[in-house]
This record gives sequence, structure tokens and C-alpha cells, in this order.
Amino acid sequence: MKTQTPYYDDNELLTGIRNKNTDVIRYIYQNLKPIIQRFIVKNSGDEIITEDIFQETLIVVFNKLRKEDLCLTCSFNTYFIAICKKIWYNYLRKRSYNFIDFTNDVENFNFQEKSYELNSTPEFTRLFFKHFNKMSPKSREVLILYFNNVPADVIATRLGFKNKEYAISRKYKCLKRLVTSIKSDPKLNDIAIEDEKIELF
Amino acid sequence: MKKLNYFELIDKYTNDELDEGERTKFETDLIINSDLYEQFKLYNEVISQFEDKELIDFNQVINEVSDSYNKNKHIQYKFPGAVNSYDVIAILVFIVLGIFLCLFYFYYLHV
Repeated sequence: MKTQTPYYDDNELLTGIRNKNTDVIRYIYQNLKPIIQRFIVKNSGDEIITEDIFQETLIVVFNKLRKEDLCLTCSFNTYFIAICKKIWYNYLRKRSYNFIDFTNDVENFNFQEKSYELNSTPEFTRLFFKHFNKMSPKSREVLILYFNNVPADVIATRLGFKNKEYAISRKYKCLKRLVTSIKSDPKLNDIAIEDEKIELF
Repeated sequence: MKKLNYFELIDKYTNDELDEGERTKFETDLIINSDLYEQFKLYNEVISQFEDKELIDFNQVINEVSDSYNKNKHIQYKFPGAVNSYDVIAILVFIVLGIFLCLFYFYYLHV
């Protein structure tokens, strides 16, 4: 039997993102991903890059909602699509791809540029997640547990590793792979890492 | 002593696994070696991303939804018996074309 798709209004969508509600995220995927995909594929992109852009957009909106009370001056769909386009546009500009159809919007809208402005620190976060998400679920889990201060023997038990030494070595390899992967991304050159974050131990 | 690569060195330094001498040398190298310094900055930046547990959780939710969405998307466009939508479209085109040709043939046969 076909299950009925729920409907969420704009406020429910914003609250749902803020509360990390799986059903709301799924709803957004079902409703907006095909639109974004059509747009990106039409403009020199592909399905894989669409996924990256889509996830980046969700993270941008989530971060916005955490930092401030987001007051939309347009519909949520318009807002979301605008951010996707902005990210995609920046991506294309940096890669100097052929950008054909930026004005072919799904809806005509009037929103303030300021409302979805991207700043420099989230750029690294997006780069981080781009590479982090390419890792296997188990590798991601190892790193998450490790940085949540879960003891190595607990990580080993939980993830079915033979011993805690293996868990430590797996964490080392995963972190190395992640750092190397980010380092080899040309996007990193466009991002300045702040010196204030560095402190000697 | 085995020569450590930058990553290993940074990792050991961060986890407080270097002895006093190695530690002092590392901190001196950090000032004079710009490559090491750049790697050290990147390492710290990556680690700092894990401090935002809420965002890491949110990312997990996105991954779960993305996986199930992509799985369902592929199921959605598949017809039973491993026949995909393109096969069905091709069959339908042949049927319509066949009907059209039959009608065309009989029309000219009777006129």
C-alpha cells in the first residue's frame, strides 16, 4: 500500500531542520532534490556533485538556524533553491566552468542577498563534510566515537574490531586519509585557515 | 630512530606521545618549517570540526536520509522482473509503431 506523503509548511520545515528531524529532511530531499539536480545537470554538473551541493545547502540552513532566528521573506523552497544556486554558482566560478542558465529559476523571487550569504569559516566546514561523507560509514563512526572521547576498547567492542589497538590504528588511518583528502582538494587553496585556532599544547 | 612523517609527528604531538626532546624540536620546527606549520594548521582545523557535535549529528541524519532516498529512487524507476523503465518505453514505442504500420497497410489495401 502506498503511504501518504506528509505535508510540512515553511515553519515546520525550518523547525524540522533545526531539530534534525529525519522525516523533514526526507521530505526536503523528495521535493527539492530533483529540482536542484535538473538545474545542476543542465549547468555542467552531474548527479554526484548535486548530492554534495544539496548536502552543503542543508548544512548552511542548519547553521543559519542555530545562529539566528531565520525570518524568511520568501517560501522555504525558494530560499533553499537560492542557496543551492549560490553554492553552485560559486563552485562554477572557481572552476571556470561554462555557466549557461543561472537565471532559469524555478520560481521568481525577491529575497535579500544578505539572507543566504556564505562566509569563510563555513567553507572549510563544507569542505570537511564533503570529504568526511566520502568515507565509509565505519570509518566515520570510528572518528566520531574517538572525538567523542569514547575509550578505544569501547570503540573496538561497538564496531566489532578485534582489540583496542586495532581501533586506535584504524582511527589514525581514517584521520590521515581525511586530512590527506582535504589537503589534495584544490578548494582548500581558496580557504584561509585562521592562525588563531592554532595553539601549542 | 625511525623518521616520522609530518602527519605521524603532528598526531603524536597532539596526543602527547612525544618525549620532552622531540616535543621541543617539534615546536621549533613548527616555527621554521612552513610546510609542517601548514599541515599542523590543517590537522587542527579538521579536528576542530569534530567539536561541533550537533553538526556532526545533523550530518549523520543527512547521510541516512540520502542513502535511503537514493536507494528508493532507484527502486522507484524499476519495473518488476528487472525490466527497467527504458525497456518498457522501447516496448511501448514498438507497439505503437506496429499499430500505426498495420493501420497504414490496411488503409492502403482497402482504398
